Amino acid sequence: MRDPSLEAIVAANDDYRKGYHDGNAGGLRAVDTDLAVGNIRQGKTVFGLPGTVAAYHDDAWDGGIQSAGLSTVSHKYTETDIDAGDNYQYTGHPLTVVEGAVIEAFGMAHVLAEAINKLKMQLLIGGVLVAESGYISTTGYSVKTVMGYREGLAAGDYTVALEVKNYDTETRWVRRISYYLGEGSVSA
Amino acid sequence: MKFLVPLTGTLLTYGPTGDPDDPVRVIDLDLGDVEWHAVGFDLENGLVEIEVSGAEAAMLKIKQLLEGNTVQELYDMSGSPRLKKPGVS
Repeated sequence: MRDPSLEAIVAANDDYRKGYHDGNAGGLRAVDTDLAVGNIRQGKTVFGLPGTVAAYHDDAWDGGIQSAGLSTVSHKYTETDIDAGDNYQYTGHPLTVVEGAVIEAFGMAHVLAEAINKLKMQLLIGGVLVAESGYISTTGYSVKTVMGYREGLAAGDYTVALEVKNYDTETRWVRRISYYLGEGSVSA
Repeated sequence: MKFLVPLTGTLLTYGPTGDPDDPVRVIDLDLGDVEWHAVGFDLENGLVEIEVSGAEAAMLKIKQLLEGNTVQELYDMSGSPRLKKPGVS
């Protein structure tokens, strides 16, 4: 005799009172089909089910990482003269993207500059300037970064480049220890 | 804070891609000790919208520069030519 009568375990709520349920031969996955490996984050296990969803996955984003890379465009101690108003460019790897893609990039430099508040870092994607840093504000070694992006691109190849721009009225030099470019693209 | 800045350089395609030897870029004006990145391009009118950050004094200076002058005046100050577009000589 069931007194009170046994209740089914249901997906609609988490009310699971002691002594009131008669179980389900199909297990919890039969109670709620949303309990599935594809709904659980990778690295987590829920009721014995190991998740398979990659950490970067977002249900609202139907694209994915198309390509990514890190270019070490220079990593040795050299000295470069930059004429007044001119710039010096370091070029990274080209990215091939599909229609509507987004490219995000950063450039990072460890430099020694001749002049304070005369030189800046610039970032270009596909021959288009997308970002500029503040001044290199010390004649000692410093690390300067610049970040930018472009979106809604046409399909094709896009090269990311990092530049040092000389805003002074005379030639200035920079000595570089390292320049790095990080590039990534995602499809729309 | 966002500003519109005139562009110079050579546009090869509406991809858009610029000429590696003459990149599409803001006119040749030192905008001061600020950082900026592009948030949108109006290639028909040769403008880029940039998001700028920096100290208060530097922000005031760039605001006076970019909002206190017409596009033509900014081109004249910089000495930069207008953006060259595909099929337009």
